[in-house]
Amino acid sequence: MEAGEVAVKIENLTKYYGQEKILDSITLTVKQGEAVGIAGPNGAGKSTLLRIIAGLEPPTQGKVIVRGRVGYVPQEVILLPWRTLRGNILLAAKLRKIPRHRAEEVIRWGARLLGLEEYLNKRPYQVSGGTRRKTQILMALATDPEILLLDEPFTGLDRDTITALQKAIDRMRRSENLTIIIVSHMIDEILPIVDKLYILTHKPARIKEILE
Amino acid sequence: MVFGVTSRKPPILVVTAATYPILLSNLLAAVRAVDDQYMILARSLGATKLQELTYFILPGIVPYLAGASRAAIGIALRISVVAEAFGASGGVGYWLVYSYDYGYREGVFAWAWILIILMIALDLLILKPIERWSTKWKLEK
Repeated sequence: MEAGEVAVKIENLTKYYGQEKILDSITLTVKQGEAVGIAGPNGAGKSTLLRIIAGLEPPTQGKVIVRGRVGYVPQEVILLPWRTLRGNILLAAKLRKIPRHRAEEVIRWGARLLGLEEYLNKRPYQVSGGTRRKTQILMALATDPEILLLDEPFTGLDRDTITALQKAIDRMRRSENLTIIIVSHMIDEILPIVDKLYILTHKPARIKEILE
Repeated sequence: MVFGVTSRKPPILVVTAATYPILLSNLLAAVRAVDDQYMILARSLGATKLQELTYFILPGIVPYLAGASRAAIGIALRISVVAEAFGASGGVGYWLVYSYDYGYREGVFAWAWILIILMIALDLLILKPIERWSTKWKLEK
C-alpha cells in the first residue's frame, strides 16, 4: 500500500447495544501513513469504534473498509501471566503466521526503542504497568501490522513514561510507515503525535470537530 | 503399587472412581474461570478454536487442576487403603487389618504410622511442590 492511499474508510457507522445508540453516523477516512487521534469523554464509544475497526465487533449500520493488516492494542493490558514478555510477543506473531525470524527482528528494534530489552525474559507480574503496556504495543507490532490501533495507550502511566512512549510511537510510525489510530479521553496526550484529531460528543458519539 | 498391592486393576479402578468426579467438576469450574480477557486477546490475534484451547485455556486451567489433583489423590489413597483392607492380599490396608485380626497390637501401630508418614511425605514432598510449581504465576500475579 502506498502513502496517501486510503487505509481506513468509515461511512455512516452506527452502533447500538440493545436499545442504546452508542455511535451515530460516524464517517471518517484515514490515509496510509497518517496518525489520527480520536478524543472524547469517557464512555463516549471510542473503544467501541476502535473494536469495530479492528473487526472484533460488527457495526449495526454503515460500512467499514480496512485496507491492510491490523494490529490492535486494547485499553486493558492483556498479557498471559504464564509466559515471559518475549513469549507473549512471539505467540502474537505465531498466531498471525509471522515468520519467527521476522518476529525476532521486531523484538530487537522494538525493545530497544521502547526500552524493554532488560525485561523481555521476565513475566508480566514481575514488571511495572508501563512495561506491560509497552509489551502490549510490541505484541501488536510483532504481528507486522500496516495499521496500528491504540486504545488509551497512556492510561495509568507517569509523565516521563508517557513522553517516552509518545516519542517511540512517533518513531515507529515514521520508520515502519504505519497508519496509526489512537483513541484517548485526554487530548493533550495524543495531540503531539497525530496529524488529525477527531473529537467525539458524548453518547451517542458523533464527530463534533476535526482538528488538523 | 507403592503400597504393595499385588494386582494393578483394583488401585487403578479405585483411584479413577475417586478422582474422576473431583477432577471433572474442577475442570469445568476452571474452564469457566479462565479470564475473559484472554479470549479477547486470542480473538484479536485471530486464534483458531484449537489455538485458543492450546495457548489460552489449557495453560490457564493448570493451577486449578493441580490443586484439584492434590485433593483427589489424597482421597484416592485413603479409599485404596480401605479397599486393600477388605479385598486385597497385600498393601498397608491389608497388613493393618491382618495385624488387628491376629491381635498383633504393635503391627497395627506400625502399619498405621507407615500409612500416616507415607501420606504426609507424598503430600509434602511430591504433590505440594508440583502444585506450587504449576501455580507459581498465579500466586505471584
